[in-house]
Formats: sequence, structure tokens, C-alpha cells
Amino acid sequence: MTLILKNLNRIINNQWIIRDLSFEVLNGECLALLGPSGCGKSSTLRLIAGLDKPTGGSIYIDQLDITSISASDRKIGMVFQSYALYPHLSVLKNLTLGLKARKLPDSEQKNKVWSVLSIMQLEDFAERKPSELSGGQRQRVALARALLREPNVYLLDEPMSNLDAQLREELRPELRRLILSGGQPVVYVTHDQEEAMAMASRIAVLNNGSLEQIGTPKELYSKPLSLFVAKFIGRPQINILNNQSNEIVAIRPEDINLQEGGINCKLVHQEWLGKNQLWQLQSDYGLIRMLNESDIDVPENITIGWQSTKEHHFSLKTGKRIN
Amino acid sequence: MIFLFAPAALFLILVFVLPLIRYCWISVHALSVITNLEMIPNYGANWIRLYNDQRFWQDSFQTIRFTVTSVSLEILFAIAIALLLDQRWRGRGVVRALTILPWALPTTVMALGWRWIFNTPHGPIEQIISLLGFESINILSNPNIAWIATVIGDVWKTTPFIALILLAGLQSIPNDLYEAFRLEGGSSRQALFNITIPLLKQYLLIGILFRTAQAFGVFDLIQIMTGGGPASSTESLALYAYLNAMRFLDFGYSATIMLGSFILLVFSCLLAWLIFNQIKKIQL
Repeated sequence: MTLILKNLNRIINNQWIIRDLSFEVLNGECLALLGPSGCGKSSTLRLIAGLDKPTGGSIYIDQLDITSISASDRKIGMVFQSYALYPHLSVLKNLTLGLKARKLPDSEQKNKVWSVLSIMQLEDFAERKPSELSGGQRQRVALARALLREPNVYLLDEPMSNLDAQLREELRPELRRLILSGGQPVVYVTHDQEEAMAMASRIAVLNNGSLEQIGTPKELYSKPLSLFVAKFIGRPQINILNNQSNEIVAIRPEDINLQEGGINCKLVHQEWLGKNQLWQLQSDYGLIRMLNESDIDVPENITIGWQSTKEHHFSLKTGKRIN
Repeated sequence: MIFLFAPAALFLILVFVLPLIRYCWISVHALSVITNLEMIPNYGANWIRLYNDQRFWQDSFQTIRFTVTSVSLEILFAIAIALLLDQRWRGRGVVRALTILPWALPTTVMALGWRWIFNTPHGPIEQIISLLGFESINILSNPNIAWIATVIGDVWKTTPFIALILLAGLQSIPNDLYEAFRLEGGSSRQALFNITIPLLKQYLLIGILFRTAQAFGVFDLIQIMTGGGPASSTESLALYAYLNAMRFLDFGYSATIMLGSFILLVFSCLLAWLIFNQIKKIQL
């Protein structure tokens, strides 16, 4: 199955929420929608789910245009940011309710729910209410519900944002394995670039409702098509050089080297990051962040340089990549 | 702790506990204009009289009939109004404000209004009936249907109150739940019975219990609309107790009626609670 978005638009009160958005998610592929809050990533997900109607454009699953099909008939498995578990029902009943609504025979309901409970290792919690579960367990119930839908497409809306940082990292491989095991296309919304890179084979970066760039994490990092993507992907953030030319030149902190006879700098701030250390340097090009091995001592005179092939050039007007 | 709790406790004792104890005491005494308003013990004679009093049982039936009909209709209308006001549409704010209006009106004022609406031959209802060429139905002077008029007045006045409680409840249900259910293939009717009503149940319980207790003690509305008539067919227990105390000046028996109706009320609330538990079990 393939999910295809074609020239999707959504306008509310004369404001573009989504602007001319097109992309494809292939069978068994996880695409991350990445961007700052308000960039339209959750709105895109709601359009795919059918919870909102697009102003223009169409959505396809394989050859089938589903734009006008209602949310309840789209067969979409969605995990909400809040998990949206029914607070008055036990885990078992939470999972059964959808099957009951779709009028599956009782025996089939039971079989399916219990097999999913066992896949998710939730059997011991079947009789608990959502309020009696931990964040990680709630996420598993929400995921179990999506699995039970036997969907054409999986949509995940910041499924990790309610978990603490350590748990998040632990759960990533497991979550990735589970959602990709069925071979459906997966759309994964996040604002965390690290999570996007870990979960997805391709990332779509959104800004103000438009697609900035779509590609593999490596492509986004090594060849950002716009200044926005260059700044959004990669930590510590890319340096923008203050060189008064007619284009923007940017260089990543990790591409800068100590170089004799290079640009003179003064150390302003030093940060330890474990394997690396981050220097903030004052130079004729403005403030520059530089990433060094942590065992390097600060020399008396700091002079830096970089290979010109590592530079990224962007248009001053449009912010788009030049070269 | 006791210092903080004391004012509320004192208030409750003065306003509820002491009068109740005094009622119990009075109810086992003869205290009327005949005894020169002296308390003379009569060892349960009031209670025997109450047990044999046809009018007390008739009024009990009428009070329960009034309470059950009003509260059921109010709950049904209130659910509908709350669901409507929970949707987003143009002019919702204005309608929401207007909905509260009947509840904000003093009962006496609106009861007078309803008395005029049902008035024969000048009220609008009778006018419409005669314009359409039908025979006058004399609503307020017909012992078989006058009670319906009082129910209409009560439903009109107190539905907004329950609707408001339910609306607060509806707005506390996250929209996510409905969206998740829709994506699972659920219809909006199924969402109503599986999500909305179960999550509203605390609010429904508050509404039902509160209104049952209030409707059971109905006095002002009926006093003004019909005065308990015709032929005491709309008389409530509160009205009967008032009649005994204020017109017949028989305070001993009046206190006994109030206590008798208090016991009935406790039973009615238990009944309401049982019915509610049955409603809770309905699914899909």
C-alpha cells in the first residue's frame, strides 16, 4: 500500500495552514513529518485521517482517492499525542469498543484483543483503567488499539512526547519494529529531529504549512535545500557567516578545524559535551560555534578554517540553496 | 481544625438539625388552636391520623407523579439542549445566555406568567384553541390535566439548570476521544452511548438527585399557578402541610406531614439512584 498526497491545501480564515503539500509514503516505510510547532505537521496528519477536510488537493491510498471518504471508513490506525484512551473503560474494554462498534462477532473480538494484548505484553493490565497505567503502558494500549484497526496507514502524532527522555530512547526500536511489521506506510509526526532520524527512513521538513525538503536524514544533513532546513537539522546549530556578500554562507560546527594562518578568533564560551566540546568563538564573521574533540586544549591564539566544499550557500532573498 | 469546621457545623445544626428534632418532638404532641397552642403529648395519634389520611396519600401520589414526570422530562430536554450548545454554531453564545433566562427568573414571577398563559378564556392557549374552532379545555380547572400544566411550568423553569450542569460535563470530555472513536469506525450514535453518556454520569447523578429533592418539596410554583386545586388535584405534600399549619393552625399534624414526606423523599431518592444505576448499564 502507498499513501500519496497531491497538492494538498487547507485554508482557515484566509490563512494557509497547509500549502501545496505533496509527498508519497511507500509500503512499509516510515516518513517523519518534522518542524517547529505550528508548522502544519499535525494538521497534515488530521487531513490524512479525515478528521479535517482539505480546501484543495487529494489523498490517495494506492489508486483509490480517499479525499471524500469519511474518517470512520478510511481504516486509519492513529496514535494520538494524548493517547485518547477512554478513561471510563478498562484496557480490555478500551480495545474491544472499536471492534464492537464495527460489529465484529463476539468470539472474533475476544481472539483479536487477546492476541494484541499478548503482542503488546499487556495481558496483566487488561482489567486496569487508563489512569492506573504508566505513560509507557498507555502508549502501548494506544498502539494496540491502532493495530486492532488493521489499518491501511498508520499515523502517529508525537507518540513519545508524554514520556521521559530515557524511556523515549528505550522505546524507539520497539515502536519502530511494531509499526513497520505490518508493511503499511507510516507517518510519524515529531518536533524532535533526533527522534525523526531514529524512527524514519525519510524526513519531510515542514515550515509554515509548506514542504521545505523531503529526503533521507543524511540528505537533509549534508545537502539542505534551504536555510530553514540547514538550521533545523544538525546539533549544534549550523553557523551563518557574517560576510556581507550577496549570498548566505553557512558552515556546520563539526566541519570547522583549527588551522594555522586561518581566521583569528577569541574564545567566548566553552561547553563540555562528553566526547566533544563546543567552543563559541568571536571572529570577523560574527559568533562561530566550533565542535572539537574533548581532549584538545585551548591554544593561545585560535585560528580556524574549513574546506570550501563544506560550505553551504543560500540565496539572500529566498533562503534557497545555491549550487 | 475544629475552629475551621465550627461555623459550617453550627449553621447546619441551627438550620437543619435543630428544626428536624423539634419537628419530631412536635409530631408526637397535639399543638393547635384547639389546645390553645399548648403542647399536649398525644402519643402517636398524629401518626395514626396520617396513616389513615386519604388526602395525605393522594398528595403523596401527586407529589411523586409531579417529581418523576418533571425530572425525567427535564433530564431528557437538558441532554438535548446541552448537546446542542456543545456544538459550534453561529449565535451559540446568545442562545446559551437566553437558555439560562427562565432559571434566573423568580418562581413567583414565572408562575404568574404561566397562570396567565393557561388562563380561561383570556390566555393565549385558550385563544388559539378557540380560534382553531375547538372546544375550551379549561386546563387549570380540569382536575385530570391541571397537574400537567404545573409540570410544564416546572420543566420550563429548571431544565436550563440541568442543561448547564450537563454542558459543563460535556465540555470536560476531550475531543480526542470522539476522534479516536470515529477512526475506529464508530458512528456518532455509538459515541453518544459509549463515550458521552458514561462520562456524563456523575453530572447526571448530581442533576437527578438535586432536582428530585427540589421537585419533591415543590410549593411556590403550585401555590401560585393553581393553589393546589382544582379539588386538590395538584396539591403537593408541602402545600398540604402549609395548609394545616397556616389555615387550620394545626402545627402538630403539619409537622407530622412534613416528617412523613421527608421519609417518602428519602425513599424516592433511593429509587432515583436505583433507576440511575439501571440507566448506567445501557450500552450500544
